[in-house]
Amino acid sequence: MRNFLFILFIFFNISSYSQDAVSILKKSEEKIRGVKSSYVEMAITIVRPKWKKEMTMKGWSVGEDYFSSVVMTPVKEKGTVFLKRENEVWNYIPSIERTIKLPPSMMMQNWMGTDFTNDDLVQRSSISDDYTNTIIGEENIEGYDCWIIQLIPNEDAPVVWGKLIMWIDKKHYMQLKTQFFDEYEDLVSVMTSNKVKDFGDKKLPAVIEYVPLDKEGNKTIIERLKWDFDIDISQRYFLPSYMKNLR
Amino acid sequence: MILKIALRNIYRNKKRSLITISSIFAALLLIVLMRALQFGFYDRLIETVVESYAGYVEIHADGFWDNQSLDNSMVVDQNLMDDLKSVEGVDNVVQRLQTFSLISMGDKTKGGVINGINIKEEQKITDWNKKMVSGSFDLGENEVIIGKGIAKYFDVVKNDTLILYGQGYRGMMAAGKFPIKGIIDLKNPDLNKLGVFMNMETARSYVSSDEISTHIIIDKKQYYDEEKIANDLSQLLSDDFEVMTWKQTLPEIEQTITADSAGGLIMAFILYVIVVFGMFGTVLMMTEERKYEFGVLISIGMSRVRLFGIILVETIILSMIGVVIAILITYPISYYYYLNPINMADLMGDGADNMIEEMGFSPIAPMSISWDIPLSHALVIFIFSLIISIYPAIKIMKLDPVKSMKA
Repeated sequence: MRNFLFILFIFFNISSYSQDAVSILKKSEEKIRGVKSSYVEMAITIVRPKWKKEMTMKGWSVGEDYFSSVVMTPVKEKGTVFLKRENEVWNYIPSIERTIKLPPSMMMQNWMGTDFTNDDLVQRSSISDDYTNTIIGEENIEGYDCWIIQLIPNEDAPVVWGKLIMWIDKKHYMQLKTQFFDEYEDLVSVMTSNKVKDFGDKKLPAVIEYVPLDKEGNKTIIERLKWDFDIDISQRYFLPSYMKNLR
Repeated sequence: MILKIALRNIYRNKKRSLITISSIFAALLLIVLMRALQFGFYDRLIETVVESYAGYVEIHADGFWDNQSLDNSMVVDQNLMDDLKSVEGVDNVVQRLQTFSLISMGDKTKGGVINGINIKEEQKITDWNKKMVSGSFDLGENEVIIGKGIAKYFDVVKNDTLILYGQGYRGMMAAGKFPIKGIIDLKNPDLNKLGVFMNMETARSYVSSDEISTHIIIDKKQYYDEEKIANDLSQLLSDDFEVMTWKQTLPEIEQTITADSAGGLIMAFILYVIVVFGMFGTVLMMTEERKYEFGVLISIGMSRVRLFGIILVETIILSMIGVVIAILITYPISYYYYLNPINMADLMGDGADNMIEEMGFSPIAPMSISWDIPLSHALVIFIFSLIISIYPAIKIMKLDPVKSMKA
């Protein structure tokens, strides 16, 4: 009987833990995207062994499914728009006045020359639905107490990763670090966040560093310069036909 | 004295001499014409591909050849260009910026090679003006010249606009609209199908960089060896550069030539076997026929060495006559077909034109008028005739005058 109670206790403990993990992730996702919408101005630095490139962009998002961004600098690429509508990615290039819907074959290519793929842009959304999440530990990162959460993709989930491990701080639900593993359980890339700042009434890390481990010396740094949440954004911003007017 | 007797001997049996001469002549004629056609084809191939555009020697930034990305490009200053020009055997030096892009118009898209060139300098290497199909090669800013294959694919003419879209320098995007200034036929099917040419400045602004180039093309002076030039150049340059000859950059041409030439050599070898045995047959016959004569000559006191000398001179004279006639007849034929090249496509019938171009060759095949071919083959025949005359020599040395006169 005591054994049974003990097993029952463990079982409940685990299930309550995993219940927690889902809500933690949901909260933290909501924090980044806002309940309804978000507007961000960011500087992206692409670091390569021999050179660096800097760009600035503006981005709008509504929920998980709609996101559009427009390049402000460098001048030569100004007005280049990327639009994500549900599972589609659209690209507008002002110098040739063309709108391109990216075919599936281009989804694994780099997004704007960064270390992210176009696929990351589409896939990053459904973290709480497509993965089975468990809390596997706790750790302190730069003064923030964090949960360590392991995310294993569900069998039918359209996900390229084999496993993700995330560090989310207990107080502000910031995603401070993410490790990406491939299907052979090898660590492929690491994303770290730092420089926590106040954006409106929220505390969020301003800088994200994404490091692919298989390419030495490669790195992408995203710095949020401005970040507003739950503002009104016109639906037009997410129409392919409106892309050439974004600025 | 020996010469006089030898000439008389040749003259005495005209039929025998004629058979020997004509067998040498016929074999040499075939060999020389075949080789002239082959070498003419190779020269043409090298000329269309190497000389007219690719260049005998290329210089890139180290590592460019294995990873042809703009990130492996180089910055070339005037000092370096002057240094390169000062190397012995170097005629012209040009810079190019080459990158791959998508070419698009309407619903069609295809891959292409964008070439940023300095057209005034390029003109020193090949005459672009003569190769224009339409339009002019006087490129302005943001204008392009395209190969005739591209023009055909998109069905475009002068002043139409193409869209180019690709990867620029250091993560920049390369995209732009370019009106067509002219259409060119570079006599090289690959270049015609892929080549888009623009000003160096236009190409650099397309890929978003002010100063980079990917290739330095070295045009050599005639009769200089490209391997030696390549060697001298790599001694001059630092490790940041790689020097390659066309044999490395276009190995398929080198291989085609080697394979085809080997086939030609086998044919030549078969013809040689025939002619050598023909010559040997006549010499054998002659020796047997003249045994009685040799016996008389030796018994009246002629030295065997002298007698052999006569036979040797006879053989040499006979083969020389055959060789000279063959050269005298083949040279004008080669020269005629050098000026009026054979169009292989006409010989092979309908559709062959496309097929040959598909393989990357031009169907026009002139003959080579190089003196190397007839002279080297004449020399081979000459050496063979010397070797053959060993047989009568042995016979003469062993000859028993009494026995030979009895028979």
